[in-house]
Amino acid sequence: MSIKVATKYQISEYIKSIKIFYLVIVLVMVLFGTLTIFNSSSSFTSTGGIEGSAMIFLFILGLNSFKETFLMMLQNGTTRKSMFIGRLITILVTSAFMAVVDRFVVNVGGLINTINENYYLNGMYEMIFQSRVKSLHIVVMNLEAIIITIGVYAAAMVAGYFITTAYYRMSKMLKIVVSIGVPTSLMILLPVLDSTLFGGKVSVALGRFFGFVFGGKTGNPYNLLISCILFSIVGIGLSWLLIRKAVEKN
Amino acid sequence: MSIEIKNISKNFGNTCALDGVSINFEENRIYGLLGRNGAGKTTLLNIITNRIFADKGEVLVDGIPSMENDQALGKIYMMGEKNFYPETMKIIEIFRWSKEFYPSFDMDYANKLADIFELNLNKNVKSLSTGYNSIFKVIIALSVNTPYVLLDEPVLGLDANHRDVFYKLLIEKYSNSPATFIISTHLIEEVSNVIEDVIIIKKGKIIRNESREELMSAGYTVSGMASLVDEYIKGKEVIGTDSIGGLKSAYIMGQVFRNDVPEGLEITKMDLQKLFVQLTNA
Repeated sequence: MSIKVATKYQISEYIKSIKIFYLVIVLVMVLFGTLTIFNSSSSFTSTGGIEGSAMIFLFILGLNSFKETFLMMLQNGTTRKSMFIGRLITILVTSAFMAVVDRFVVNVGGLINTINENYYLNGMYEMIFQSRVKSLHIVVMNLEAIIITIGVYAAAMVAGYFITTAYYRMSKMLKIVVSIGVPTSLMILLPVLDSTLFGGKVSVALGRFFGFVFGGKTGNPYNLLISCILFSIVGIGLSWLLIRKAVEKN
Repeated sequence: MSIEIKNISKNFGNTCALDGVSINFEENRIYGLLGRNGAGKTTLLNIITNRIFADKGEVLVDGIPSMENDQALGKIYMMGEKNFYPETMKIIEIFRWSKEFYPSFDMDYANKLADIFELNLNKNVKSLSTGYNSIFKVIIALSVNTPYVLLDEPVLGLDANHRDVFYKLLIEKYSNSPATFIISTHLIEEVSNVIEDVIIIKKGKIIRNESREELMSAGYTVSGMASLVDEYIKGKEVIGTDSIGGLKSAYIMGQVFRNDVPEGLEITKMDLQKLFVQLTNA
């Protein structure tokens, strides 16, 4: 009962944001579609843009998914465990829903392309796994793309959720240290150390690692899926460790 | 059927908020949880409702440990001083979600109370005044129909009229469908006519846990001409006095022996607030 209501509540929190997101997507598609029709010199090209936007959107959604919900659950006699299970179901349902909708949008974009060459809309899956796309039946390809996208979306949401739970548990001082320390280390310290001490070998190794993890290098989408699943499992585990002892700090 | 608190301790850094607290909140009683600022009242209520964790001890709700237990927590509703509802949510939506989380929530009754308090259900939480912030939570607390209702400063920001309405509604609710109400408040004088049992908490320890009648019988009030009162109270444990013109009231600890009371003095019950001040001052 509690898990059911906790899930229902957490899904309801997302509905408005998702509606706005797709309203913007549709408006952009219609606007640029109309422009390409009335102005033959203009064109609209989006390769992986829909899924890329959705990933950022879901990451931000994840970032905004803890404090308010946590307090609401505490107010309504729901345990952290039920809230957390509800959140995982919400993440899965949201990811699956958006993956299906985005695939539909990409296919609609493909159809428009057949009648209007200036309008080119392609999916993230097609962008990363170009060679594989040609070898698969269109139905299989779409199903595979949906499954991979669900994994990617869920990982984005889990990442946002983990960050927000970590920040909730941190003291003010630790928040400042992490907020300054992490970006500084990644954007400034690491490149400087890499170029001065390691002759750029760290960047090359990281590039190879991410190429393998995301499957772009191997052309295997399941590398990406497994990476996303592993990333999500770690994120979920760490989030739970943070949530199970979280207390109201209102 | 009760909320059983067993040897609960809680520290915040070096501050001891609760120190080995053990109490039993019996079913269908109205408790007054009284204590000075920082005595540990809210901490205790927060531990009961799983909002924070105790360092030691446990809370049982009808025999079930309440920590991270949906079944036990579903039997309790806490109206907190602080707001835990989303600030942008409309009151009507909060009522709807209350019904989802607490199926016994009486929506019709909540709407009726909203009419009585003239609460606009289409307003969101952040647009409400302090008083109405308390009112919407009071309405939920009175409509939720859980066996245990915890009220932390329920009349915070309410004007005298609304406070009066609240106390009347609380008694009416208690008469019609009894439940355990635990009221934590600073307005002792007002709540003294509503509560049946008094729990006084001081520096994290329970110093009194008895019925209001028992507690009130610990002392008495003597009133009359100031000179007569002054004469009478000599050698007695006086915990406070009030004077108006030539009249005086004195609050005295101990038993009254009616035969010793001189003509012209009136003996009445002890004032709970005076007693509270005395008990918690030292």
